[in-house]
Amino acid sequence: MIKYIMTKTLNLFLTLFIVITITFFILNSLPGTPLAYLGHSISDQMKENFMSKHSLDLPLFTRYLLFLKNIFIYRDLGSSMIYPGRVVLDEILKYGSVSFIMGVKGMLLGLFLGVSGAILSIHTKSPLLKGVLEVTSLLLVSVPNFIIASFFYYLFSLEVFGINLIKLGGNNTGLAVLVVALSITGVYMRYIKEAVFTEMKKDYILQARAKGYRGMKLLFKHLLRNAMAPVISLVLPQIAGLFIGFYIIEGIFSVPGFGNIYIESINNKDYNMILGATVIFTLFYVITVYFTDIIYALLDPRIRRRKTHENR
Amino acid sequence: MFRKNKVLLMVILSVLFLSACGKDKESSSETASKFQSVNTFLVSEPKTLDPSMATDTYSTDILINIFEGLTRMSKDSSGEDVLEGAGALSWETSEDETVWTFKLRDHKWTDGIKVTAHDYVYGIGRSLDSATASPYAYLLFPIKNSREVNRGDLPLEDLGVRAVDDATLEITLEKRTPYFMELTYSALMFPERRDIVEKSGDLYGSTAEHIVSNGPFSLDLWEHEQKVSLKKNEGYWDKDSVNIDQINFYITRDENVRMSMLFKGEAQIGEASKKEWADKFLASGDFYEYPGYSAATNYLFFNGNEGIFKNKNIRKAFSLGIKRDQMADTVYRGLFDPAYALVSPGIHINGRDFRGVAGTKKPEDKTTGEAREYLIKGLQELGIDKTPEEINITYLNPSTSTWARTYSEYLAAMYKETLGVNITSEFLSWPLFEERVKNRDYDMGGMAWYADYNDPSSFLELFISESDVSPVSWDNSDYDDLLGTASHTDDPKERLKAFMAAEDLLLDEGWIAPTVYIKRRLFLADNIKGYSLTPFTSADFKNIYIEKNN
Repeated sequence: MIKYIMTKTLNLFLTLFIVITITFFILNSLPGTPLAYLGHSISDQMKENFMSKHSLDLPLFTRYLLFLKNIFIYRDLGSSMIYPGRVVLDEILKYGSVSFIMGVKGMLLGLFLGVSGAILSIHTKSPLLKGVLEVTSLLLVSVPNFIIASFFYYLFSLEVFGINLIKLGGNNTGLAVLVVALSITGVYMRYIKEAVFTEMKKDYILQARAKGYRGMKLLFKHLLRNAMAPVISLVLPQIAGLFIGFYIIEGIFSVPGFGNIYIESINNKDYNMILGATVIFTLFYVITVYFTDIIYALLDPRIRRRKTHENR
Repeated sequence: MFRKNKVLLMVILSVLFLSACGKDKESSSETASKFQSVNTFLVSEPKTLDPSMATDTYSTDILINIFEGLTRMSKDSSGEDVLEGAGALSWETSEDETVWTFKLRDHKWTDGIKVTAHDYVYGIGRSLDSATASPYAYLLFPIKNSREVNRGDLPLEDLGVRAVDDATLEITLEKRTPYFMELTYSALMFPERRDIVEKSGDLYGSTAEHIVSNGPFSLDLWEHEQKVSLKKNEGYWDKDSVNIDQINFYITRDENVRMSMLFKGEAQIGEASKKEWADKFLASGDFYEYPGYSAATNYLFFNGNEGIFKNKNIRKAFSLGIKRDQMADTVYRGLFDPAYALVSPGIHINGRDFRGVAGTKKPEDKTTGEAREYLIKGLQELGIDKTPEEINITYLNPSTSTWARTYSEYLAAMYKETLGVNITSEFLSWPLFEERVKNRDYDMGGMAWYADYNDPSSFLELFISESDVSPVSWDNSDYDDLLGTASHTDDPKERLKAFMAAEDLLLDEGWIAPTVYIKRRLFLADNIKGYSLTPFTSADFKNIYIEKNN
């Protein structure tokens, strides 16, 4: 078991290292400099001064080594090249956490709505309700999230029931969360419904029903555990990417998230920000996958048993 | 039963989330009757509020309202742009106009410390320092030794800027520069506080805590990516002219959000980039449009190293073949004006609008097909045995956006109609475009030129032989001579004549073909007056006031 954890940890660092190395070299092979955002040519002397200030005139491999040294020894991701003085790590944490919290809330709400919708759809006797839920989930799956965002913005910027819900400078995070939730509800609803139906046909359910389990009890004690398993492995790795944000939704609702920062840094060739975001994202992602494996093992005893058998 | 509970839970949660929004961060005291505030937008987060490094308009929009430079551009009673003393009480120049002496006004920084000539020396020096690496440092190259300082060849002390005493600033120029005063209101020449810069280090200009200013407003609040709030500076020397207590700049990326907020009255000033919104504002009667040229011209340019554009008649054909009025109306959605010359309206010389004096250069009513005739003649002269329909040209588009594609489609259709030629387009991101143009690896390209300061030379010097940013390989000694005359003569009439002749030569030789003059369509709520916007100074709120409603 200890060996298992150690191998996993080594994998983690190796993956991180490879990803940031590849990103570094690809980024630097692209044409353009952080001055590209000016959109017009400036004289060579200005460019020279700028490149020298940000050490961009050093040979590529030297810069790579400096970069690695800064990350692994000083844990310093540098400052933005486009926004002077803003420390990359601080910016990522500040805006990333806004996006992350928004994303987590949205995911939880979406999961909740999705599960509720699925359960409702399974248990209802009314064909009308079944139909409505089916159409709704289909719509939510097909309509892109930015359309949902624009629609809701339009809806709430009008004065509904005399309430002006969207104000300039107001906090629209709640609406943004709702839009995020709705954009994933459809997927979850359909997925879970499918999964429950599949599980229903299995033998252990037959036994449970013979034991007397019905309805909600059956659902919660037996069905959902197994139906949710694939959903969990779908959801958990997505959490890592949540801090990257939802560019358009954040833009429409003026939520200060990381989406815009990230997109902008790529357009502006803000090397430090791009690399910093990549490092953090990769770290998160690898850690999350790591924990997903563990949670999966907890949910499904078969994996636990299999692993123990393998270690022998 | 379970179903009902689930649904109830769903509804409750949804309501909870919804109610989490719409909570106003603004306190109610701001709506008290005497307190006057104005809301407007920034499309994007200001990159920095360091005057030496600010390059984007959003940064300068803020800077011009919190800092006070030597001078300030304002509007006189007839709405004309006028330069007035701000940090400087008066100024005079030497006989040969190479030394300028400014007598400074006695005024303070927001933290109570007096503004002195040393602050200006420091600010200007910092803008030129090679260590600062300001992308726009070249604007100050008229100052003596500035090029060498910027290259690192000379120390900062050798710069032609010195404090004669605490209240007198002396600037020495490389040579007589007729437009020098136009540089004195630029952010690069703002005074700066050495102690604050040194204390803040890299953080200078990145947050409100790391900025000290001296202008009509002070930086009250800066929430990155959200809002910048300016408050009236009660210590400002001219505070009685400042009628507004607070300006709020909301950083709003989505255009529809900006337009709808403006329309609803949540904001009072905003810029429309779509004709539909512009028309809507005008139709409502609650807004008026603030006219503004951006002092920028879009133009097409041609490669002379190889291909058909070597021939002057062909270049002329391609310029005549541009349907400028239609282009301005359709592709540019009626927002920009057709351009038959390079120097945009809004550029002044000798106190008058250059374009107004030189004329539009619009050709006489022509018979249809004239452009095509020139093309045929040119092809014959080159000995190319092809009809126009057999000519294929590639247009280099400096953008990969959806609009760029629309533009290229229009260009292709337009030239097919007027000349018969086939235009295909290549879409490149700016760095790639820049590279291709530099290597003269193109047939035809298009771009915009934004003037850096208010003088015709800011447009025309782009094309002198030694310019390293010109997109065309055109070396014309007559043109260089004319601009040299303009630069050296002390006769303003001769200067104007030289510029006019240079522009005529440029247009006649036809290596570039101007298409449209770029404009901004700014809309203000009817009761907001006193706003000042010139192409070079961003939005100036100093004299703004809210008219009392009836």
